[in-house]
Amino acid sequence: MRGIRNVAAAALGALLALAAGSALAELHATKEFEQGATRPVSIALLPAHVELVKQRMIRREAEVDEAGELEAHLGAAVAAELATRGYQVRRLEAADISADPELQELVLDAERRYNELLTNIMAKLRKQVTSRRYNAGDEMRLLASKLGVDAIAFVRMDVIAAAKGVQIMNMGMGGAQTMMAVSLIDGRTADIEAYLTLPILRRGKMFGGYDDIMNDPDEEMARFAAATLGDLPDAAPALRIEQSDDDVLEDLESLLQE
Amino acid sequence: MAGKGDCKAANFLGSDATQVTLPRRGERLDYAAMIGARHRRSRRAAASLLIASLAAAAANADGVYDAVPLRGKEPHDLIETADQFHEQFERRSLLHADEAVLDLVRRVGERIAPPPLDDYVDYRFYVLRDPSPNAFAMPNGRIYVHTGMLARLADEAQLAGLLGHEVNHVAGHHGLLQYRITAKKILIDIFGGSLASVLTQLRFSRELEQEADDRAAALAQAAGYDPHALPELFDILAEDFEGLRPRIATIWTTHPDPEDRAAKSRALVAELPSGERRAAEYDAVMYPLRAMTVRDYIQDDFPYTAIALAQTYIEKYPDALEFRQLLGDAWQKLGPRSEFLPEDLTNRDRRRNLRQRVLKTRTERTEALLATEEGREAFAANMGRARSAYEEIIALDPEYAPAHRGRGEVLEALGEPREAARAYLEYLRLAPEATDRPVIVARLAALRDVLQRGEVQ
Repeated sequence: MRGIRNVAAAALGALLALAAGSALAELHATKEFEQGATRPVSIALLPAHVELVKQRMIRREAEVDEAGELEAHLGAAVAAELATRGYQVRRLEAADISADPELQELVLDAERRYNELLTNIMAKLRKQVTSRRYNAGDEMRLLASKLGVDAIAFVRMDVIAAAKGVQIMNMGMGGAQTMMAVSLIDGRTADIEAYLTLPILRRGKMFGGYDDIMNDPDEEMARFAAATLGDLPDAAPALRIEQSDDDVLEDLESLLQE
Repeated sequence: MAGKGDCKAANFLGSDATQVTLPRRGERLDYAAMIGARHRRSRRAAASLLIASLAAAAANADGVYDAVPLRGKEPHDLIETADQFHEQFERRSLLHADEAVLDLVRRVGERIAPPPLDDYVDYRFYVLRDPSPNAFAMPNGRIYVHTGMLARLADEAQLAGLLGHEVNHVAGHHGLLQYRITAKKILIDIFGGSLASVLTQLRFSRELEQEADDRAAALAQAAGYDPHALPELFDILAEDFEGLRPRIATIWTTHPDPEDRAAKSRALVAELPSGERRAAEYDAVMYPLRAMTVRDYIQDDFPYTAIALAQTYIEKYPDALEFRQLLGDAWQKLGPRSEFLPEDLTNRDRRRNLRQRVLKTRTERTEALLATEEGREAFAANMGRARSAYEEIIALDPEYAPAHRGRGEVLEALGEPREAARAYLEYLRLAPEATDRPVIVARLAALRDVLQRGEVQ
């Protein structure tokens, strides 16, 4: 049975190796995002979360320290990738968040809300992002307002890195398996307007194994970010529809007076 | 919190069933031999002695365990990893920074913790920003209490019982014990002892929890706190306001059943004299944290818990309008959900509730309930309760801005756009700098569209 699995894994790996990185990435976005009406100009990028698990022969171990190192590199890589597409990126650091109790509350509320949505997304169809199934509520609107940005971006990465012994057991196929997701949540609608993911677990050397990732995290995280955000359209400020608060309040006052 | 098991954190509530290995059928667990430590008495004997002479034992609680030096990879796998988790909590901005709360937790912790015997242990007490009721200890002596746990405790004596439990995990080397046993028994796992191994691991984990419970009362009492507060902690843990915790046979859990823990600890402390409770100071310090926790439960869509806590806090702080406001918000959040008695729920109900939360978004769950007669009735009733709560506040203090916002939300939900808009505008007039102004303006924009469409029609 294990032999069959290994052959299947080898075949899958070969197929993946033939494919271009960005071709495997998925972009799920609302119609309005595609058209530009809700596509942000300014984005607040929250600290990336990386879960790095080392698969040893017997047990799995969370590598917390190394995950922290990768988080810094991944955050920088995603910020750079967004910037090349014309977005104004404000990268939030943990120190900035902890220094402002009000911001800390808003960020933690938003993180919990996003994690809840991510549970729904992972359990069901990510394609339903297009039909605005996933709304992050007032928490996200408040955070976007506090930061003065159009959208909030969340970055998540899970890496399962096989130890040498496991790689040998898997006939050399066990480099690192990685899943990455970036969500853009609009500050007005609070909907996930765009969900970009590398949903397929990568094996072998295509994106580098565990050693490659840790030897040159800058380079590897840049490659992951570029692949995941490959289909993201450029910022288009001219297409975005804005409305001032004053217009709304004036309209309402006159309506109520009538 | 994923991965904590790797450095063998011992938590209070218990959800991590991935630790420990010790499969040897019919064998009595000899903890002391396993870790190379010399316990002065067995766990069972210690428990018996505690009943007879708890105060004396507690006064010398640091003598219950000997120092155990680390060896091999243990400093890295246990101590350094614990430090790394702390850094991760910092990176994720999870450390709660309210100095008054931290001072209180540290003061109680330092009062009950015995001087550490191991050079790698340094008791430090932290508060983690998490509404779930839990606490856990790391092998290096760092002890973390969730904000949700602190909010639910009634006084310092309960906090002392909780911290006593965690301190005993550290002083008893429970993390190290589990680590070493895992390493020793690893080959048995490879060669197919999996089920027996897992069950024994779980039993072992439960016995360590029981040991920490037993000695927690001793530590609390030695510090002058009321040991009768300990069983009350397990009553708190047994609460399931949301109907989301299916009962699992104890054989599959890392922790004993909370009701059993409560019963055992009640028997343990029954004959003991009372001690300090210090509720008034605790209530004063925890006020903002309690309000924050109720808000968390509302935001995270746990309205039954929010209602229960808000009602408790209204009794504690009768003059505070904030908790009346939060009660209104919680009724509003309940929406089309009906009230229920937890004892009426079957395990199947609880599992279904849990599955629904994973598979369906909040909006989908709400819409599904609103499609039923029962859901619509519950919605009308809950919105009525919320509206009453807000209007009572406005009667007490017409300038209390959040009540106008809440009233606007209820009126909007009940399909009264004109009155809802008036309430929102009143809110913005009273609180022009409110942080949620953009949210309210967005709602007003939607109401404007509704009103405009109505006029066109």
